[in-house]
Amino acid sequence: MKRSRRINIRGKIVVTFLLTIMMVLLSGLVGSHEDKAKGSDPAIHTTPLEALSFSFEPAAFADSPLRHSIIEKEMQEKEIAGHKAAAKQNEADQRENAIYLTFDDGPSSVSTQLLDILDEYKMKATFFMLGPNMERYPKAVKRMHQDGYGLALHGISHSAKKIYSSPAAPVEEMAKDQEILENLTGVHTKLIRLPYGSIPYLTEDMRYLLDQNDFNIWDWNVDSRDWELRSKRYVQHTIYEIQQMEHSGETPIILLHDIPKTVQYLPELLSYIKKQGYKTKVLTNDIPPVTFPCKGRCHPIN
Amino acid sequence: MNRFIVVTIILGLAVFLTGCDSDEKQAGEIHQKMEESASFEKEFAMNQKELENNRKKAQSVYNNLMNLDINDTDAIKQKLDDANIYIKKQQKSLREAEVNFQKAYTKSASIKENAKKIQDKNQKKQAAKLMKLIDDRKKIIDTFFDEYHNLLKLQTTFYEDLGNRKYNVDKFNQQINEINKYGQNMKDIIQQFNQYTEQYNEVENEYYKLAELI
Repeated sequence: MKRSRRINIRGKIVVTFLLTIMMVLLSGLVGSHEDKAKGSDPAIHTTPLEALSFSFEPAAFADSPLRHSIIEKEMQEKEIAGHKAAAKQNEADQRENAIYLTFDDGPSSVSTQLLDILDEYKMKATFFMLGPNMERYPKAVKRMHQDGYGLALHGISHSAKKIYSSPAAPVEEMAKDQEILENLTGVHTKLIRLPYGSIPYLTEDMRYLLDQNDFNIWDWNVDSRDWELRSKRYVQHTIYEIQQMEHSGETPIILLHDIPKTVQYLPELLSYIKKQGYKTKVLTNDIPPVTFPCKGRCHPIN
Repeated sequence: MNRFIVVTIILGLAVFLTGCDSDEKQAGEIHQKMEESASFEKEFAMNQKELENNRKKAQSVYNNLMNLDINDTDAIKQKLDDANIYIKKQQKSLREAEVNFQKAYTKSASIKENAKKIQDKNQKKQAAKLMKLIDDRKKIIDTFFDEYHNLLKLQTTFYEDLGNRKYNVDKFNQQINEINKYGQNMKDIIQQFNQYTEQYNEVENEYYKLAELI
């Protein structure tokens, strides 16, 4: 006969204790689940975060009327200051009976001959030179420098379509030209003349950029028209123009070209200048430049 | 021996059940904190709308100003005054936005304490994802605030120079280019921020699902 095992009192206490704990825990859990069930009608509420909108329109300045008007104003103020300085310079030049001879487009195959003629008449001139020509005739450039002639820049391409193609194009060509001259002679010049003059294609923007890059833009007040007449007639025309300048009390700044026909008849012009007692001078970085004012005449080439 | 097994099973069950209870408790607390945080985020979103609104008005003033001639001094003065008003309004909204976002962040970041106590692996992983997104959003929006302050500072200098007639076209160009860079950068930042927000909403919901709150 098998004897059944019975739990003693201690065992009963332990089992009762454990069962009580279990009941408490289970009732707690059930209670909490019930609470949740009551509170979670139907489940919880969640607030999703919203996306932000951000619009930004890039600000334009480069082509704005405000910018253009600032440039115009600055250039006008500079022009007024330039006129005053030029008038002062003119007074000094008038006292000296000065005249400025300038030659564009060189150096060339006739530069040496041209320099010989100037030497012979003991006259000075300023040369606005093209970069590629300086590289082709370096000896002429070095001689100009050694003999004390004025060295100045005329760009690289001598093409209106190229040099006026963008606001930065004139600066780029002149900077290159400046470097070529500096490499050949060590001279750092600020003097520039734009091909065909600053009117009409040198816009306000281009003038502003050239000014910002410290270039002095030189035009002229006597056009010899040697490039057009290509004969002795240019001498007569120039003499007439010089006389006009003399009457108006302005110091002549004569535009000539470093070309064979000009050189051929140059002695006649120099004889006249000498006879009139003019003193030829060279342009320098310190002389206030004579520049054609825009006055609404400047426009882009395109 | 039998008694020992019974006790172990009962205790194990109790521990398991209390564990479940703890995760749900954490989830409840997390939800509460996230909702509080969301209320600050709402304020923050309102500030952003105000910023957007004033930024558009400021842009319109700038465009009008650019169409003027520098000699139109009275009109320019009027536009500069308007521009400064909108800059100040943006500065105010920006400061409020910073405060509200900081409050939202502090509240949401406090779920870290709860996350530590989560025992369910999946829930813990999801909560960790959520915390990372909370930090990512904070980091990127702080960059946005810095960029915005810089932009407004630069705009102030630009308008001051114009007002004081310190005309320097190159400097103006440079300032406007920088302003545009800041603006573009801020646009990119907000795009990234919105992506984080979208993920944040998804991860948060996913967590609640795992915690069986929804």
